[in-house]
Amino acid sequence: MNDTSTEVSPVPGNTQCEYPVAICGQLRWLQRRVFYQFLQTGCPTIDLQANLDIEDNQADLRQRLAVPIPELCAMPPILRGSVKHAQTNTKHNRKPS
Amino acid sequence: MTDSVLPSTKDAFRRIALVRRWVFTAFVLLQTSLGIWGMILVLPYHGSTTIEKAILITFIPLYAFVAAGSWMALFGFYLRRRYKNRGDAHSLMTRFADRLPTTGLVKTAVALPIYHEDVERVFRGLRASIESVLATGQGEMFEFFILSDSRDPEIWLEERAAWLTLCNDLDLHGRVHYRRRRVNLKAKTGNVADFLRRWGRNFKYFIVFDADSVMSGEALVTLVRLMECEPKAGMIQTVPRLFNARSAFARMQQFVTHLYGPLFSEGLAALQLNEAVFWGHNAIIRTEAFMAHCGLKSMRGFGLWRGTVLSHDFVEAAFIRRAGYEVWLETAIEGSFEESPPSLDDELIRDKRWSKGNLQHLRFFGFERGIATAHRMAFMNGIFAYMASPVWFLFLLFSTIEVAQFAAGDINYFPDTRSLYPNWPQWHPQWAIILVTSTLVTLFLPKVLALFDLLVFENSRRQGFGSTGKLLQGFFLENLFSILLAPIRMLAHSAYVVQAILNVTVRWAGQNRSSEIGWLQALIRHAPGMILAITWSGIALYLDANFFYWTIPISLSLLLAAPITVWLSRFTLGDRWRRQGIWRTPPEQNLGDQVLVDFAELDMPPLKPQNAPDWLNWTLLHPNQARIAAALAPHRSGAAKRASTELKEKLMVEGLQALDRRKAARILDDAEAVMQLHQHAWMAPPDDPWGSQVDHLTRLICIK
Repeated sequence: MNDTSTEVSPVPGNTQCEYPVAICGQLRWLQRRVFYQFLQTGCPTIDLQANLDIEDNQADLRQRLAVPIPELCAMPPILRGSVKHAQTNTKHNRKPS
Repeated sequence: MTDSVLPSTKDAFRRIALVRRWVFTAFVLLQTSLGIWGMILVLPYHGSTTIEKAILITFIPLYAFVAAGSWMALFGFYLRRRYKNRGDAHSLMTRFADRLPTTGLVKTAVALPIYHEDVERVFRGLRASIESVLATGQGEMFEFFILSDSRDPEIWLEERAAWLTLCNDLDLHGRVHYRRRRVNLKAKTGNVADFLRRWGRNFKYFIVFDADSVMSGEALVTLVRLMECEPKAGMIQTVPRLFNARSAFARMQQFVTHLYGPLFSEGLAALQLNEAVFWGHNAIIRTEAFMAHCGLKSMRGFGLWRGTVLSHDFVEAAFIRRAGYEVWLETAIEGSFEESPPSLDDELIRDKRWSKGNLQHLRFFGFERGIATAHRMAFMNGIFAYMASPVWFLFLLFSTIEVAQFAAGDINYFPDTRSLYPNWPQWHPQWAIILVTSTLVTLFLPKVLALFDLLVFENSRRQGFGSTGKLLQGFFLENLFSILLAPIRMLAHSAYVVQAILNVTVRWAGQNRSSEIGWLQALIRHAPGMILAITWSGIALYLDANFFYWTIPISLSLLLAAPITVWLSRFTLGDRWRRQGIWRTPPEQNLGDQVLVDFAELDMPPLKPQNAPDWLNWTLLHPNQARIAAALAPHRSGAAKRASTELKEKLMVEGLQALDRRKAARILDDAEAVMQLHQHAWMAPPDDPWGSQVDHLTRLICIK
């Protein structure tokens, strides 16, 4: 989504930063919403001021999930018949003359 | 469908068929008699000892079989020259040549039964055929049915996606159909019968494709027109030529069908006339006649003659003929193609199934009433095509015993105990040489004639084989390899016949149509043959040096079976020889049908991104795929609904990995359950199996 990258400077010594859980949650739901839209339409639309609000993204996703199922038919209507077992002596059979 | 009552007319071809078949039989019997006489002269006791009687008993059918093949091709050559490539005067194409262009079409189904095939390849072939039909302007007269028996969801979901893409791309919704059978009763016959029961009555004719079939629109239209011209025709079989070969083995087979095929098929068609056989695909069938007379019951015999008929096509042709309809092999219809297995081992795997299927025909050959003699002969020919191998094996075994008896000095001057006079064993090496030479001539004359026919009389077709030098080079190479491969095939077929008689189960599986053979696989498969060759040649050398030399052609090819198989299965070798012009054929020179050019040039983009998860996950998680799955799934109720709800709840809690794939895929049989699972997955928290799966999917898509 963003084609610029930032240099990450190595963490000196044993110092550990706290993992930004809140940001992860926000990004997750934004990512899900954006990718759902992408898979659904083939073209993601996201501006750089993306809405990180989890509830907004969940609501948008719910709306997309509610898109109705299309009408689709794999086979034509059935017109029942039967495949009869081959018989040696039926009136249907006609020996080659 | 209005052709329920077949016009009761005399069989117009009975006389000519009898004349041709008797002339053919006379030639075969005459040559076989000469061969037997030669063999009797070669044998030291002239066939009077037990072992020599056994040698003669095995020799006679072998020689007759070889002679029949040879006379068939000679007959084909004669007809081709007599009618100057215009086709047999009695064939449908010749008789209806004038009416054909103005004959109207009727609604025809094209049925493509598939089972665990390469999806991209199947749909490439189908699409090329459909586009070719559309190009004729007669597209509205055809409907296409993909009849899947695939059980693995990874395959059938891909098939379904490919079907939908095809419908979208060509705007053929409602004219290209996809049906997957949930219960695969009676394999391919059951698949086609199921189609006929449900939709057969909509169509006067149906054309059967194999998974690797490609047919031009012109060929399909011609088949329908011929059926319309000849209301007595129940089936019309085309002669499929091989194409799209890449490995050296497949290219060799392709070369064989293009170079020798016309002679053999012309001879066969002329002998069979209106009592030809059905080869299972690339043929048109009169639906109502087929439904009324060709249903195959499970056999109620014992051993291999119990259960499903494996090679159904010959039997169906015999049954439709018994009902009074005609079956034609039309050699003049161009634009019918199929593929060769890529390697000898793949061909042998296919032969394992075919050998059992053909041996089952013994039941129809001997015990089915009302079948035409020509079809009984076709059954016998099919049976002996496989039985010839163990008979040849026994012939070699008995010959070795004969030599061993002489080497051990076990000479019996009174083989006939009732005779007072001694019977001196006599060696006539000159007769042995004459007999071997005549056998070689019988084997190779048809091939030489086919080459002669092409070089002298068919200038336009010759262009498709490259230069004359390359054609001759390919001809000699093909003969060399056919000699090398014959003993390997013989040993494998012998084993298959024994297994079939012992009723070893034959696995029903999709064929490998595109892979090379590895060294380990080849060594394991051919190890018994290699051991046998060393043992046999060792014994021969120990017994008699001269006999050892006779064994070399067979034992050498058995010894080299693994390297030959691996080498010939290589695509690199096939490609290199193609560049060098060896085994060139018209389709490779773009002198074949336009449908093959389109087949090769079709742009078939992948159906899902490279990094996407497997098809089951992809279908359940992808917004459009899930909706398509729901749209195609039934709405369940009652016990089925309770079962799918239970399955859905289990999957929601434990994820897909908790269940076997095929079991998990049953969720796709309930439209509501599919959508509920889809919605659950996308709204699930990250620590839920579905939530993590969705997060994983979104990351995968980002990776190029």
